[in-house]
Amino acid sequence: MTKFSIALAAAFAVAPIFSAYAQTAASQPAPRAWLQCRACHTIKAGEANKVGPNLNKVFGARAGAIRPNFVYSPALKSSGIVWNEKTLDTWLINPAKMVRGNRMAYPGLADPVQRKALIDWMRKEAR
Amino acid sequence: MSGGLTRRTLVKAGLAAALVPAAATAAARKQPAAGPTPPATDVLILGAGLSGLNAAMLLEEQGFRVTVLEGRERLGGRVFSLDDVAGHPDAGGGVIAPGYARVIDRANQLKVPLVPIMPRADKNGAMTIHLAGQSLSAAQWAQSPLNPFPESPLRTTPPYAVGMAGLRPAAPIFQSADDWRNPAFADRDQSIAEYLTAKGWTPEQLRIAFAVNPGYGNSASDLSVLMMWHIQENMRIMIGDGGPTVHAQGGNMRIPEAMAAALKSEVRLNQHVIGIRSDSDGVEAVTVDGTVHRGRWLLCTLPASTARLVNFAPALPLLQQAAIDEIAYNRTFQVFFEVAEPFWEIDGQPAAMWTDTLAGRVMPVGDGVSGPNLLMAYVNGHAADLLSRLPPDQAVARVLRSIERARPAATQKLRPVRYVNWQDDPFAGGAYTCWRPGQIRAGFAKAFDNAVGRVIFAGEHTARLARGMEGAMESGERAALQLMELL
Ligand SMILES: Cc1cc2nc3c(=O)[nH]c(=O)nc-3n(C[C@H](O)[C@H](O)[C@H](O)COP(=O)(O)OP(=O)(O)OC[C@H]3O[C@@H](n4cnc5c(N)ncnc54)[C@H](O)[C@@H]3O)c2cc1C
Repeated sequence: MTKFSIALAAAFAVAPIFSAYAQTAASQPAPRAWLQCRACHTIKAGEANKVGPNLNKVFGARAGAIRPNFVYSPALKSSGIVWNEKTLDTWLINPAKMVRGNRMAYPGLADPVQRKALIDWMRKEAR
Repeated sequence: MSGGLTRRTLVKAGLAAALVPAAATAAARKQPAAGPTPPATDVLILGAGLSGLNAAMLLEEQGFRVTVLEGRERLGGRVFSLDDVAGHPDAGGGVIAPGYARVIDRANQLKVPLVPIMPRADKNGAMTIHLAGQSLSAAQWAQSPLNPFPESPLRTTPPYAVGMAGLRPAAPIFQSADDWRNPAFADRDQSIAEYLTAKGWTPEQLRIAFAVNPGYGNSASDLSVLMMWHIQENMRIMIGDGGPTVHAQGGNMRIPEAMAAALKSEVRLNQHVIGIRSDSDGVEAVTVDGTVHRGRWLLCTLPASTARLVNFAPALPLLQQAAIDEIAYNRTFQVFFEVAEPFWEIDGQPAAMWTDTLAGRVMPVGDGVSGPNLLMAYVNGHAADLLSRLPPDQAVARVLRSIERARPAATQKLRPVRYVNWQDDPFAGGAYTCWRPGQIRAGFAKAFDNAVGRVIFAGEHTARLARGMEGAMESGERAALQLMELL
């Protein structure tokens, strides 16, 4: 087998698993922390909501407002939060503490380096 | 239980024999003459339930090599759809709540259709109450001398909901979704009996609410009130916006099957592991027939109830071994019946029943479309123990007779087609984790957060936020992320 065909075979082998998470050509590879987000969230424009809302254009938006067809918890809707690097950072440390009674099932990401990598990536993807 | 002891003794004896070939293999590996060692897999994963399969998918996706070993002849573990019964009813994990993000996402990704579950009770959620030989509607219960609760709202709450209703008002305010494991709440890890007795509950109230058909544990004495508050908080999140509860079309087992099919590596069935041996650069899993599998790391997703039958070398630290030995599991014995004629239309009572008989709770199951009407007798607690000690034919006959006595209209209308005994299943040892008072405080719930040598743990009993099927998926994800850092 040529090098090319080996690479092709390998690509096909992973294709079925990757397809549901296909990224557009411009995408950066997601940091590992996103593996804990993506069962609930999509981030590209036009992708469907999952158990959590699609996060496209989330930066600068009011919490609980950007996806009109998503049912947010009353707690999040009335939180008054506007999402930016800082508020998102606090949220990702412990969402239950920042907005008591919200419905995001996420244990929190303690490592500030991982949080920054995640937020930087999200900012680019959510544009 | 003597049955458990016998099995344990047998397994340990089998292990001694199995370790001989294991040692021989290890010795052979050290000798260059034996030829090059086949490259070990990155992660040996024990268990092809939801936790093991979710970890396997995530690890393969990130480019790691995994080998999944499963003791049974089938996939799915405690997700178990009865394919030999029309309608493929689920005997294991059945209800997928709207907030089960990982379960739902995998099903969608792998094109396993999810469909709403036929309600297990009637439209108002009502069940026929059958207690001390009397059948009562929910309205009659509120007036009945059998009802031990003196006042509303508990007096007007049906017995199958009164336990949760009694605990709800005093739930602690959790500051994070895994606060139930926070040492700050440790002093609240007491038994429900202790907690509610101090609030004035009587033994009869505790019995009705927590020991007749216990959804968790066996009675108010062997259940942690902190766990129940965690369950309430978790339910709030999992119910989400109140959408329908669903299951996979054709049975929930289609989900783990699709997950296994999506793996590059094939799951190895019939690999009953009885020993885990770690050395400085790898781990070996030894099966009952002496086969040795080797990996750089090992992910153990076995429930504590079967992990306690595995010999760890070197021995696990005390905390982890104590947790494995002592974590309690719900007892469950089920009998499935085909219904020749909907007897509930004859007597006009709700089809579902909550009884204090050996039939436990009786619920319609299946999709009601692809097969005949099915009823499941769902028996928990000590009643399940009693049934599992009888010869199966006798156990099934006792359950049938209990239903017919409680529900004369059902006489001659039910044909038993299958029974499932979860606590005596060698690969389950019970249904799901039920924390005993003091176990959370003792650190059992956190005991598997970190690797122990080259062994990582996952499985429903290690979940931080969710429980049941979603907890299993969550734990597999957490373990895969840990392994990605270690590999
Ligand atoms: C009766 C019942 C009802 C339930 N109802 C619900 C529900 O409605 N909703 C919900 O969310 N959850 C429910 N659950 C719980 C849910 O099914 C489990 O929590 C979940 O499936 C556990 O997944 P797991 O991967 O942690 O463990 P498992 O599915 O048990 O996976 C472990 C695997 O390891 C294998 N194994 C065990 N020992 C060995 C060994 N020595 N060697 C090799 N392999 C071994 C087992 O065969 C199994 O496949 C229910 C469970 C039961 C039994």
